[in-house]
Amino acid sequence: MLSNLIVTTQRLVVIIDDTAQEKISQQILTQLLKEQGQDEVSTIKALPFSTDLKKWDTFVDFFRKCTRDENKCNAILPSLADLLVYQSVEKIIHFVHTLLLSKQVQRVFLWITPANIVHSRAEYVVAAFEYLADLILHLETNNTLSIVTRKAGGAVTNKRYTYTKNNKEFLVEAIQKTPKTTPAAKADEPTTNTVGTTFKIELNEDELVARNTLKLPYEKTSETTESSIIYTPDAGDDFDAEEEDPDEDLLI
Amino acid sequence: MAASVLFACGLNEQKLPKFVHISEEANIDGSFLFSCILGQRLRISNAGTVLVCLQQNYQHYFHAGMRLGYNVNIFLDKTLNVIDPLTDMARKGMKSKWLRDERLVTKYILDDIRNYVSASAEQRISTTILVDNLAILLNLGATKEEILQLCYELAELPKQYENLTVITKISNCDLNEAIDNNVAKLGTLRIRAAQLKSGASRDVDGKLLIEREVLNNAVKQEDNEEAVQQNGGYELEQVRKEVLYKVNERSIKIISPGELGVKV
Repeated sequence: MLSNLIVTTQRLVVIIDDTAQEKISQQILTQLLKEQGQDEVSTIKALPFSTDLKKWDTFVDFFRKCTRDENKCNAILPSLADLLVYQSVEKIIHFVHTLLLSKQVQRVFLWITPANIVHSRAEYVVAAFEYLADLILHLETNNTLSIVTRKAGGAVTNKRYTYTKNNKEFLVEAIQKTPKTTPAAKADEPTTNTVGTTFKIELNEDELVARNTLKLPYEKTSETTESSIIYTPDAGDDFDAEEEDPDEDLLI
Repeated sequence: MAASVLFACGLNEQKLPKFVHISEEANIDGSFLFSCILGQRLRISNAGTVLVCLQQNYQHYFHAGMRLGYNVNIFLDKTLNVIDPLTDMARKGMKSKWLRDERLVTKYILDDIRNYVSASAEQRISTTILVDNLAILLNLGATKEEILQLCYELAELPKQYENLTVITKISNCDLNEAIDNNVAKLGTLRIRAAQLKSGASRDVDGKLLIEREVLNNAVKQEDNEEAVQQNGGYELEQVRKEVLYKVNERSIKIISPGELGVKV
């Protein structure tokens, strides 16, 4: 289940949504937390979207709500696109940082849909929150997602999954990486005819060896250090083969 | 006629969804939808309408209404209230309040709407606020954030008043995509007027993509609009429909994709 991968020790979880599910983002996050045994009444605190977000007091009240209970809570914020309509980037980052500094807040969830952000520097804003996040869930398509996790020791993991979801469950399956073939291994593979040709161009091993051992005439002459006349007689030059008496036609 | 358009879009009932958003894609004119909706709302007795004319002035809606068979002037200042910045700017020039301060444009619109609604909503069986077209507010100097704040405030009005519906329209393009997406989130019914993929056609002007949210296991009731959001689960139940349309001289024809048409 996706909740097993998201609800971990990482404190700031950022969801990058390219699948236009922002409308039910709080619903999805609440469901994920419930699957991990969190309680909507006590340990899940969601700041609902409303026009009250234009008042900073709304954020202060939410912070107090998260920190007043003895139980640690999970804070679900409105989507970044909604927050940016009313507050500046600096204030939002400051608020997220304040939540993370509180020991009563176990996790903070922030949903980001890049296509919905009206900020002039939307790409930089998204990158800034990706930098702050401990875990980034990227909903890439309707059936693939990736999770980047930054661990306390500094290690970073990046894994891709395929997912299926219906109303009740959100299941993921890791995508197995296929082993890459090295260039040396590729060279040892026997050459094959290219598809679409009707004649053979490539050489097999025997032909390659024969070609490499062949010495062309100019190579032979370049190897000799002594000067020599190389005479190759043809058939007409073979005088010793004649056994006839050359004086046979004399009438002596 | 116009009734078939509204039936296809799910807007033929007396009680409409609380927030409806209409997007017209590039090279498509979706103003016929507004004219059809306006005609239908005006025909309901004792139903109030607030029309915010940003793209066209009031006379455009009068002429469009006459083609579709209703006279808007009969209802003016009775059940129909009009906010017409363009006519005001044309008459008063730089003295018009709409040109005083760009930061106050959306505030003036919101204040005017609130004044009309608070004065008459309780006496009406239903009130409809029509805003045509949000993209024009950018031309009047409003920022994207101000436009969204206006829409968010408008979306709060149906919670304060019974039987109040807000219908917005925007000309969508790459620049306005973020505004379009954010405003569409506010409602349960979204209508997109788009071009045909195959290009221009003599028989069809374009297509309407209609997305309507439903409850999981029951027919949607508007009073439970928040219940749709809080239904839980990972999926948003939606009904999607696509129809083709043709705007004629005095009527709009709706055609289902694949339906045979006979031209004599």
